[in-house]
Amino acid sequence: MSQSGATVNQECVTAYNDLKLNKKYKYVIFKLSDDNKEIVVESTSEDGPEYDDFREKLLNAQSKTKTGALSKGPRYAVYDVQYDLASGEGTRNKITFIAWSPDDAGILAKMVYASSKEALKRALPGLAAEVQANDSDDIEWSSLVKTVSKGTAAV
Amino acid sequence: MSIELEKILAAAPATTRGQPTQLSCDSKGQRIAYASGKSIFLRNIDDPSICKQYTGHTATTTVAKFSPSGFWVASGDVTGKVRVWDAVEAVNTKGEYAIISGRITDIAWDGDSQRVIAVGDGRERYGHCFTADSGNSVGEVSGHSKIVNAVAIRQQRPLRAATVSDDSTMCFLHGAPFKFNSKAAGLHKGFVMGAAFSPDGSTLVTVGADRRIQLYDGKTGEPTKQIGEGVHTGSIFAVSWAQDSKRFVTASADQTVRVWDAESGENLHTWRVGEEGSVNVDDQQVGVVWPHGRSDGLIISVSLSGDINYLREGSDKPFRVIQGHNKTVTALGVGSESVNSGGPPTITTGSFDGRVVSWDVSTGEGSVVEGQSHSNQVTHFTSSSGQTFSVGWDDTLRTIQDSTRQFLSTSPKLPSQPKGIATATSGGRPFIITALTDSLAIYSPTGDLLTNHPTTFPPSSIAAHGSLIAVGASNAPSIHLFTLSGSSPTNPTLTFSTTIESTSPTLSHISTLSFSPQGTHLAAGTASGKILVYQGTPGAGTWTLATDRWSAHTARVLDIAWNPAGTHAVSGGLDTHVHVWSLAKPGTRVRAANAHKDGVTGVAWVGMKEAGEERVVSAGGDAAVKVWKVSALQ
Repeated sequence: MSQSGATVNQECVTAYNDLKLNKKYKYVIFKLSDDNKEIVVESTSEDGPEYDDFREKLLNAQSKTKTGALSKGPRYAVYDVQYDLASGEGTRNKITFIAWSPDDAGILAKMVYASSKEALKRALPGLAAEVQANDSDDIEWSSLVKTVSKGTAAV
Repeated sequence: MSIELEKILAAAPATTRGQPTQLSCDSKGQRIAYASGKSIFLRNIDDPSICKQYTGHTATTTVAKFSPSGFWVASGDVTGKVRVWDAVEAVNTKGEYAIISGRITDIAWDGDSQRVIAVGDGRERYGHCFTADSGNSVGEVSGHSKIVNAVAIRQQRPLRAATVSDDSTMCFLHGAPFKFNSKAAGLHKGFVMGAAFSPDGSTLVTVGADRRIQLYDGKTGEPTKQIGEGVHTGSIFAVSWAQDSKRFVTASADQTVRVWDAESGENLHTWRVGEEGSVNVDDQQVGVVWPHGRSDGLIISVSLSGDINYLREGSDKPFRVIQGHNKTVTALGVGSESVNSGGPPTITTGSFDGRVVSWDVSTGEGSVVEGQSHSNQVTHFTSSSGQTFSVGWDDTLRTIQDSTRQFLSTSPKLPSQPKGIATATSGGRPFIITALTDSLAIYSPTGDLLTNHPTTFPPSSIAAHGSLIAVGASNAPSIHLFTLSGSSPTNPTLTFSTTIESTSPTLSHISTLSFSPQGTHLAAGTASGKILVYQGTPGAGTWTLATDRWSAHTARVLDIAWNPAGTHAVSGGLDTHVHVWSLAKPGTRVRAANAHKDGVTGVAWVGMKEAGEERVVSAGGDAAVKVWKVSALQ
């Protein structure tokens, strides 16, 4: 698969390890820098711990187009999804990689994000699940849990 | 929140004029199986609202037969495929077998529930014999030159089978493996429609379009005698034996069902369906089954209209008639009393063929609304003070009197094709407003056209609350609001008030609209599957977006209905799912996936509330109406 030349900033890995090993964050949102050369951390669960905050951040994400105008933008995110099993056998945590690429985002932005995804994923070891989200409904909590748990979660 | 299927008010059997409709009953006499649409329905005889629906077929189904063991059902469709599946839950499919290249007309099981013969309209062959569990061949159907209409297998050994065909012959097969043995030609003078072996295996009977009832020896296939000559005055479509092997019952196009004594050839009992002295094509009897394992002597027949008739000796008329739709349901309406005052939960459904059925949701009983109905598909219903109004593709507005469940004779012709209908009030008077292709026509409740208000946009849907009318456009994601004013009963005026435009560039046009009962919220479903909820105050002209998170449908939203409190709504769409949404917590939504094959066309919230559980009904492309239990609303 063709790859863009974007590199992963070290702080991405640090933030991911804080989420994975230290449980410091519930989620981390990554973005491409404005020159599309580097993937950096945009925000973490420190300013808004709830899932709805996370959702709002993704929905309101913006990217610069070539002309410098702002439009809706794609993002990468890692969310520590926790859910109860429908069989009653306890709770599960899945560190989930979310590729958020809304249909109404800029074409260039969507393209660069798609071709830089592998670079970031390789830098983040131990991801349990991956979700491709293109519509606001794909990042509703119920849809996310359903995909991540492959239908085993309690509703 | 959770949503759970409570009951299925099943579709009526699919019928075709001039063709038999196959009915099957399980060996205990508890359930009947029949084909309708792309589904097979298994219905309890005593309480038809206890029903299972099998949706494994991808094409229109034609026949379903219980195995003698009662554990399996074999069903066929128009593409020549036979599926064998479990009769208990109607979910697990044991096998799918491609038998012939055309329509399957009949299926028969052998006494061991192992072998199946399926026959029909093929090109290379007219049927095949195979094992139910693996599809291995156990013989061949040969000897016919035209479509085979029915097959019967002797339930004892030696195994025998009979196939009857449009070529007016009966072929007798010896098994197993089943092979052609002899052919009885020259007896029937027309299409042979039905064949049945007596339960003890001693006699075979065939019936046909030449009104002949011919008996044969069950072991040799030798013709023995003809009975009842000249009694039936129409084609005989079906035959079924009583458990005692002495009597059998025939169903005919002369609207009668007759019981015969096989020994003496005497016509023991006759039921004639339909009005005395008049001929009605819809009352032709196209299928019959005599359930075994029952003590009450019940006989079940099917009319061409799809009505299931329960017959019993001692009465000359059916003592019970089960009615429903056998074409796609296109509209669903709720009686005004049942929504607001918690009255009897009745709903009205209209189907693609213009049939309108009124249902009592609590008992699950449906009855066809009498009188002159629409001659084409029913588009929409609305109700107002004891009357239900409907519009349809025959471009008429028709009125149903709720108390008598009858169409009134007045049916004004609409200026153009209707898109929807709603009831608005002005000066305390109700007015009926229909959205047409390029105008809004206002009618009085008595059916008089008062004004026809041209619009600047093509309407797609309409909803009303009080004097406020919302009309969706079919070319843009915009909703146009109008106010009805004027206190005269003959001269109301419609004033344009405002337009709600969506800013989202990806949104498609509005497909359905619904006001909450309080009038404070307006839900708009779009052709791309999103539902937008607007908030406003009736009277004031400002409407703001309340939520755009009701967006789990993946195809056109076809109907939305609010609960009486205006806090939750149910929606159905072309993606076959039913969703229940919450206004306070738009993220919590529940889904009934694949609720209706070929799309959900109508939903309603009915006034049956008990212990935190509410009821939602839906109707759709499978011609069935389903009642859902919604609990733990939040």
